[in-house]
Amino acid sequence: MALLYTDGFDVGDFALRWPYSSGTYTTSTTTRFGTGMSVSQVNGFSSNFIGKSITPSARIFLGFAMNMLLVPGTIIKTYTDNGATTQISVTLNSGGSFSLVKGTSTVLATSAAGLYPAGSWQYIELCVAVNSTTGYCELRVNGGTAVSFTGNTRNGGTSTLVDRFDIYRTSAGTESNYWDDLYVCDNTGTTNNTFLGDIQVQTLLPNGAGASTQFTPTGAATNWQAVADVPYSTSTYNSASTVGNRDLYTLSDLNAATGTVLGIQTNMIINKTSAGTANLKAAIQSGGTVYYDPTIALSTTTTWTGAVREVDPATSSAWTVNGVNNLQAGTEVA
Amino acid sequence: MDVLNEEYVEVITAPAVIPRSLDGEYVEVVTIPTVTPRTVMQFYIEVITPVPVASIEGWGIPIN
Repeated sequence: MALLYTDGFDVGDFALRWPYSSGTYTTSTTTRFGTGMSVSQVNGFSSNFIGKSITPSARIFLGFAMNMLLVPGTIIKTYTDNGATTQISVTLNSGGSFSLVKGTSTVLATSAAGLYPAGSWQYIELCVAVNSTTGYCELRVNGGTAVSFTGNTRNGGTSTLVDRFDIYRTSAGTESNYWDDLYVCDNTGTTNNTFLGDIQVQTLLPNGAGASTQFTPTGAATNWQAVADVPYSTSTYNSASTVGNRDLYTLSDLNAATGTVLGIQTNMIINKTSAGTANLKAAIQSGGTVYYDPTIALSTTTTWTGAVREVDPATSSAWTVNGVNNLQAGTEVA
Repeated sequence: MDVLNEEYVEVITAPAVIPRSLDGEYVEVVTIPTVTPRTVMQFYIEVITPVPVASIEGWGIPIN
């Protein structure tokens, strides 16, 4: 696998998907393309951040759209050792330049000025490989290399595998800050194993019944409506307890201008409502055949879970627009 | 002259009956339900796509 994670911030489940944060974050309709939502912090401090653990990786590529004031400060930190050791950080500097920093204070390289116009959407990408001699880090802005460094990128610690990243706001005050269209990949596999460039994350919600309806809806007239709330609601849901029971839904289509699909991520917000072992798995139907994501053991705590697919299992090739638009997807009791 | 200011006897006794009090009693039972409902509150798919086309929103040559 190369694509590890993606987040369009479109459905209001931010708190479930980002376990590390400080400050108060909300979803906002201020977005790059006028659709969906972004994650926003309206009133906060320069130390406020959102963070997430990822599959430990020797080389990661992280990309996201950012819209902030031009206030100097740290905008990204990467970590190893289960988030205990800060490795490569990125700072935004006055004049609109960026610096690659080892730890939080040793500047490795600085870009030209004027790369970040204040208060506008820019697509930021960072590559990090932690090593004492052959390390590498590179920052790109809107697809172009802003600054890179080869050499000692290791700021101590035991592991060289990046396993967490945080994204920071730099200003303190009441102005708004926005982030959107985020991806993380590593350098393994045969696809999505380098910078992906400026990407968009499109969120497809259920919009009708699919080939199977075996769960019981609560709080909504139909099964697909019970799981299509934005933001999600704990009072509208589908439930089932018989192994093999399956719900499939039709989904909204991709934007008409979509040309290439780099991957999809199925997302579920789930729990169990009594004691006992309870498993569930996401199901997708492509080309008339049902395929399953990994089985999830449920908790009584409401949880987000997601799984990435880089190829259409019906063709073993990259997803096409028609392949995604004809997809049915849902859940099955396991 | 001999003086006796006080004299007493201490006797060790045991009651005929000893009352027991019980303020509360309960039983805890370990159980597993016959079924464990799975609940799905939200389902959606995110699709990652390249930003398709650069747009030029204004272009022109000033004419004096």
